[in-house]
Amino acid sequence: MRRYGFYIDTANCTGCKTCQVACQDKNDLDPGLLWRKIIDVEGGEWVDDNGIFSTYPFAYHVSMACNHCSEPLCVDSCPTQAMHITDIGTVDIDQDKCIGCGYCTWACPYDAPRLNHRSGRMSKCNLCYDRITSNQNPVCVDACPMRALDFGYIDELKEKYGSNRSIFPLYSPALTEPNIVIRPHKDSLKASEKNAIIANREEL
Amino acid sequence: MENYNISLALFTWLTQASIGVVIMRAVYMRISTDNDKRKITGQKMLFTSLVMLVAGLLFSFAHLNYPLHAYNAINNLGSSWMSREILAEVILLTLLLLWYLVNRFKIKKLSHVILEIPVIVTGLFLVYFMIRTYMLPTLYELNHPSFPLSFISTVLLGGTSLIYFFIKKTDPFPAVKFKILFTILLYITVFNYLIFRIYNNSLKLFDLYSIFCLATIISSVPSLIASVKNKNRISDVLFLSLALITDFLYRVYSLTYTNPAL
Repeated sequence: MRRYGFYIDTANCTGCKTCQVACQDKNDLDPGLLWRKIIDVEGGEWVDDNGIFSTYPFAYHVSMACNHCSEPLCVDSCPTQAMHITDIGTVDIDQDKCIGCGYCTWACPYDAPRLNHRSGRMSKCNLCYDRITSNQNPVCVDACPMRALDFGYIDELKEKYGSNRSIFPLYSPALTEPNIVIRPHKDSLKASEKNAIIANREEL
Repeated sequence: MENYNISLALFTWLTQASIGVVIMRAVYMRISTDNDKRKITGQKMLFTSLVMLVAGLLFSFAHLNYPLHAYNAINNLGSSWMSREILAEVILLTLLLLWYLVNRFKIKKLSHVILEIPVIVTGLFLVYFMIRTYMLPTLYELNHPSFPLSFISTVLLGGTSLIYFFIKKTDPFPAVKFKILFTILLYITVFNYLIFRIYNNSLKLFDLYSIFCLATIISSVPSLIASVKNKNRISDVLFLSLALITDFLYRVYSLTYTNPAL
């Protein structure tokens, strides 16, 4: 089955959160319930240049939603089989089975499934199923003013943008085989746990 | 993290302690020589184990946000450790209830051993499934041998402490053995707790968890002295209560410390 995926251009992303808001608006999500979120990464270091210390601060943003992985840990872990792979290859939640235990959130390296307090069940990005089945882009992609997001079949995205899927602070893609392509921000190459942090962790 | 993790901690702790009671009961029934008292105490132990298991199960419901669909929780036995855990929990509860009723109504056709072994085996499987449920590659805070060891130590600590409380007046000789075993296990648990916190770079000497650990170790000294002198003192109750609270706090700490990756 051909899988859909996202292209995320972290070099172009300004962290404006339009994608996040468009997703919340389209899916009528309560405040705080984020299916797409912007991770703000900030870091830097002091460099000793012959006794003169210089600072090298950096910041970049990673727009992250469910990556509709090819080997989704959430699907394997879900005790009810509510988390499943749909007929078009996306990962979705069957609300008639979900018990709201939150185990999928623990299993997901991207923290994509979120508890919907209104329904008492888990919820997550469904890749705008209604839009893509009528040949439209997911709403987050169309909303991005910087064109930092793109959507399509993952094999086509890889052909167009390359095959990088790694960036700090994401887990190794080997864990779940996420269907994403990432254009890394130049500073992300030197970011690590030692010199960078997620600056908006409480917001996520 | 979310408040519902407290009910998750209660569920795991009570279930494991309940399994511990059954295992330690089997040990006690084999080392005790007093037949009459042994039978009565054994029945009480079974009842306690059953009550703890039911209470644990109720707490497991409390952490679900939509319990009306709870019957779906065993749908994914093929790949979900949580499904397997829940199935084992239900089987254990059924077997334990059956065992209790056989004992209660003195149905002699059914030998106790026939039920004792399946209950213990199911209990051990349940503990294994619980460990696997939390050992997810994405929960790197728990991905360390000290975490599964904490589950096993709860089984043994819960079992030895409750058996000790049951028999300390009626059967003092084996009671002392259980007390010494409990004390050794407690020291191992506290050491394990330190390793867990060092692994997670979160060791603090003066927070609630560490203060309880320290208080428990200090209280173990007068309690052990009282046991050696064959006296029944309040220090016993204090030490065992503190030890169980410490073990439970360790569970709360490890489950609430765990945060999703992002």
